Amino acid sequence: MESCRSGSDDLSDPQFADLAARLTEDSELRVQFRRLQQADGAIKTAFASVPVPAGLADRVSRRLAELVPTTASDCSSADCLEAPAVTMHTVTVPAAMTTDRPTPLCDPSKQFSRRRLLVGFTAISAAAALLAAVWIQTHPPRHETPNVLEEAMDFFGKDNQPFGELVSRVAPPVGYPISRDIVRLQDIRWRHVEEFLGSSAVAYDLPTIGGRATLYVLQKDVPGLPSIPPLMPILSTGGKSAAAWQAGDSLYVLVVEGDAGMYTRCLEPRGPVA
Amino acid sequence: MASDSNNQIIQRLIDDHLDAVYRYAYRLTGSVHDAEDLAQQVFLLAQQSLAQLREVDRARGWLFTILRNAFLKMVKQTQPDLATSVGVDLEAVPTEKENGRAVDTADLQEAIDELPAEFRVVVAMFYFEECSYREIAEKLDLPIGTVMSRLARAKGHLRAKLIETEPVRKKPTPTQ
Repeated sequence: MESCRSGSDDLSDPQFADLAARLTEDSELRVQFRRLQQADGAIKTAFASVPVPAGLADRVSRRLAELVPTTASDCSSADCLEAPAVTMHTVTVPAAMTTDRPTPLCDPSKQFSRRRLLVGFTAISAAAALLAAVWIQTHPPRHETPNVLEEAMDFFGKDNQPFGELVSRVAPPVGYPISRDIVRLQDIRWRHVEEFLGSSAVAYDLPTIGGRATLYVLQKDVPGLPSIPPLMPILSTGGKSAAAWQAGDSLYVLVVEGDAGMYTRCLEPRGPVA
Repeated sequence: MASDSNNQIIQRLIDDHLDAVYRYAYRLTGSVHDAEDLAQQVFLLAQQSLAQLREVDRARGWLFTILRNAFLKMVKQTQPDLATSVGVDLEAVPTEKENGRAVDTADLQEAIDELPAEFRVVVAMFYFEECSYREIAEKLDLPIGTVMSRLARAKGHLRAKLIETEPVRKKPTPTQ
């Protein structure tokens, strides 16, 4: 129901055939659906109600004229012409539009540098993967770990609770602290969850880009877990990655939407082990 | 000659779409200043990449894509400051809706600001761009399940803040 747009004919979409059928049979559901659609309509209307500052068009036009940009049409490189429709990641966006000149789309030295960077990154990734494979081989988790992670991933997949409290505003419960190994971000939120691995837990939602990431903390002892977060996820499946570690009485389970890269972005960078 | 033609196209894009781009940027950033910067950035990038625009009729969607990417990039560079921004400079403009209840646009912005950036983008695409969940998944290159989950959570948050009378379900306060 949440995916049906207000004022649209989404219900005629075959994807919503089940919902359409249920709506014809279930009057309560129909009322609920109508309320949702009304709420959506009101929010949609409010969304577009933003006053535009006076003179904005003039300011934007003037700024563009001042910057005298190098356009993509000036570029003869095949790479540039075949660039995807939106190339934000290949364009250096001026941090301050008022002072910086835009960087041309096609700077051969930059492309070369990017290629070298890519090669370097690939090599580092391969080395990291190899190290991780060796580490996992030499530190095999006991049989309980996969079950814990599979259950955690399942929970994470169904975890649709409302957003919790900002850690910076409301202290999380004592006994369920966030791990020091999680990357420091100011807008981490916490909330209570029930029946996570059969226990009450605190979930910390990390404000990541590109996917959800939640750290679950609970009082539970799972033998065989490392005492610090593994450098790579222990389990990656179904578009999710997860790992668990045990620090004292606290069990930490980090589940993210995405691959190992997403997982490692959630961890505080660690220096080399002496 | 080509430059003159490009300038004309850009000026037309500004005339036709700047207001929408600014409104969208405002909803994403929650600040008049950031929204204006972001809108300028969108048209600058559009000017640089104008050769990629093949159908002027579809320019709005193209500009919105640039806007979303620029916003996410900006959040990445400035996080966590922007993601936690709660500064609301907008004057409240109550909006009537069909059942008589109104959603205050300043309250709406406050509720949007509380969402993580990736949820903000999804919910803006749904309400502002009027994208279907499938279109959102395609444009953001995300699994449909992820989009549906984010939409449900973000919409639930907005409704709880703006429309529903019962508060968001809260658990016992933390013990100190």
